[in-house]
Order: sequence, then C-alpha cells, then structure tokens
Amino acid sequence: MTSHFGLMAIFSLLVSAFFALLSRDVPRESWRVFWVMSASMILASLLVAFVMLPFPLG
Amino acid sequence: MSQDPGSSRGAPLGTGRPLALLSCALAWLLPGAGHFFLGRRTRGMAFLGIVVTTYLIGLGLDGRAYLADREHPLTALATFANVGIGPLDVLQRRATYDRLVWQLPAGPAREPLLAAMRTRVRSQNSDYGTAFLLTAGLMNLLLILDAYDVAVGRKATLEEQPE
Repeated sequence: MTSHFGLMAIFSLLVSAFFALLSRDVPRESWRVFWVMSASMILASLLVAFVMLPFPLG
Repeated sequence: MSQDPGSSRGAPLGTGRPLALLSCALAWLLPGAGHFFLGRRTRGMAFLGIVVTTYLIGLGLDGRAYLADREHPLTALATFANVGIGPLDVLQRRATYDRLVWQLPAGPAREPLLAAMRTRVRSQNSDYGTAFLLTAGLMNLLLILDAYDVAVGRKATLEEQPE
C-alpha cells in the first residue's frame, strides 16, 4: 500500500479503535467515540492537506 | 485515563501493588495480556489485535527502530517508545540493523548502524512505517498504565459488559 490517504485512514481507524476501547467501558459509547474520533482525524488531515496546498513541496 | 461515570459496575478489584506490578509486566510482555490477566478478556484480546496489527503494518512499511544517541538526546524518548512494545521490539531492531542494539555507539561501530538506518529510510514508506512502530509502542505504554489503574481499583470492574 503506497496511498498516503489509505495509510492515513488505516492509522486513524487503529488509533480511534484503541482509544475508544481504552476510554469507554460501554460498547455503545465506545462505538460513538470510535466513529467521532476516526472521522475527526481523517477530516482534519484532509483540511490540513488542503491548507498546505499552496506551499511548495521542496 | 478517564472513566465514564455511568459505566461503573461490579466491585473494584483492589488487588494491591504486587498484582498491579505483575499485570504491568504482563502488559509489557504481550500487548493486552495485563487486561486479560485482570479479567477483561475481550478487551485484552482487542488490544492485542489493535497493537500488534499497528506494529506489523509498521514493520511491513519498512519502519525503523530508533537508537538512543548522546548527540541527539530526544532520540532516547523515541527509543523508549519503541521499547514500549515489549519483546516484539527485537523484530524491528533485527529488521533495521540486523542485530540487537538500542544505543548508537561512538567510534567506528557507529557508521555501520547509520548506514543500515539510511538504507531503511530510503524506502518510500519508511516514514509511515516508523510512525506506526512508534504508535504501537506508545499504545502499549498506555495499556501498561491502564492495567495498573485497573489492578489497583481506580478503573476496575470485575465484569465486562456483553459486546
């Protein structure tokens, strides 16, 4: 896998699952934390990438 | 380690310091083993899956293990994060340096290690892999602290709710 987005999405899902299980005991709340956290991480990453678009790569 | 106030159920284990230290040691030896030992079996298995998956993806992406370097003191923190994964740390050191080494030595022994590190870093996904490896180690360090909290009764429940 060489897709930056794919790797970032996998990373976000794993980290979100970890913290959802660590911070909540009730399964329903764990799922909610998982979805909110993973969506936040992915959307925030896309937003930062968009903001960085005008900057040169080098 | 926040605990949901509405989720407290069952009696706290209150097992004392020796058992807490034992659970911490188990958690370091194998991710999730501390929770499994303390009766949180489903959670322990899930943690094992998440942390080991993160670690294996890091290895597969040619991530590199850090070495503590006296010239760069912050590398000691990264090395500590790597070691947090437990005995699995051996695999990433073998993959990166082809030997078990945790500190960058001075003198002639330094250059071969730096060359091995450079070779690893040339891989296209190495930075991602390194981030996955560090994250896996840090996750396991958090699991060790959480297992301690569970063992001393700060975050303990005897039963897990049905998943």
